[in-house]
Amino acid sequence: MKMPLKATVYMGVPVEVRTRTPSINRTLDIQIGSICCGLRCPDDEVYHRLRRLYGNFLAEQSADVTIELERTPGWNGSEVDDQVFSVLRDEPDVFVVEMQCSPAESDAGFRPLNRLFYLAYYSACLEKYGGSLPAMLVHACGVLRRGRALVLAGPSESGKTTIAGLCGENDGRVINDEMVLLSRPARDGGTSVQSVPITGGFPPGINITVPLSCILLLKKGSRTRVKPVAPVDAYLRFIRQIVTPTYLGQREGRTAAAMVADFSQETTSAVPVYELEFTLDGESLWREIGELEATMYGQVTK
Amino acid sequence: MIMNRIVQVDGVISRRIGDEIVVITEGGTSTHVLNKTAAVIWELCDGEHSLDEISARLCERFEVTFDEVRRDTAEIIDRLITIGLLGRSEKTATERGEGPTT
Repeated sequence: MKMPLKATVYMGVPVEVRTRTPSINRTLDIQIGSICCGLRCPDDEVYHRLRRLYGNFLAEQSADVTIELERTPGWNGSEVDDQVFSVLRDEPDVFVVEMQCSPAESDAGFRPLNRLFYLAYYSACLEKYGGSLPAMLVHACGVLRRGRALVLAGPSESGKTTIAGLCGENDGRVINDEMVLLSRPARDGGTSVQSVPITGGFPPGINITVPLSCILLLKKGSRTRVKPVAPVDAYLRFIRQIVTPTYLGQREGRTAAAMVADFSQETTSAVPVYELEFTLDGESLWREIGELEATMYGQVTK
Repeated sequence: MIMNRIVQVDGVISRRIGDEIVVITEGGTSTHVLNKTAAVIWELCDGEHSLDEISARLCERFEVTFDEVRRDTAEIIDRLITIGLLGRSEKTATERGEGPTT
């Protein structure tokens, strides 16, 4: 079942949204890093499905950005893409976006909301922090092990969801199989990983912020092994996994590219980066990772 | 005679990673990695230095003759101009009202 939706994005919580049918509260306040995104649903069905999907990310703070979803019967747009995300109403701080979800295909049918969340996150950060983003979205599978997060980064089809599927109860806990938020390295080099309400092959996982263990650049292969990556190679491969900041209603190509370049430089010079070549053999995968962790922390972890 | 200055093309982004420099073209359409020598040349292509001045600076760092350095530097600069990372300017960065880039 296709569900054409129109999304109107407001920076902050405008009065017109706050006062509309106040007796029926169908707004979910969703945490995306340090940003709160109010997601106002068109009806009970959508509200309850999204509440279940993003239940771990419900926040109790005022929204930095509000997305109002409306059903738009009769609209026959294609699946969501960059064209669909054109700004239709050119008012300051109000942006209208058309999209098409397919909720009958399980929770994955709500994946078009992912891109809306990237835009909302970066746009709200721009308002809140100016040009300095505290954290950036990275295409990666995050796995929690012994209180730290492994970030297994790679493009589509590189195996992020495969890795998540190979993660058994004793191996770790999947934070997200598609994307995580990575903070800028602190002065001591410490970086934290934060989960995000992004739907990949699996629904969004736990809502957690933990220190980063290391970055593993994924490579499907015929054997399992971890090897160090030269600094330039790490920089070039990691930079491609950073979700470039794009803002509603504006294109700042050069500024965004410079932010991504800086973030990759800061991160890959502050944290260990390895290449993880892997097969579908989960046992050797987690054994190899355990040995790597033992070299980093001096103890064998499962 | 007007001495041409070599400048980094507007819109490219460069970051030093160890001894090397990564140059990303506008829009991220292509990425180039410059080795140690090319990285030094790149940093001197700030609109303030001519080919001879860049070559002289390199002579201070590497034990080779000026003529050799000048030939190799010209070749590298030509290649970087060909791939659209560098350009020539008849004015210095200061004359264009820009500060030298670092």
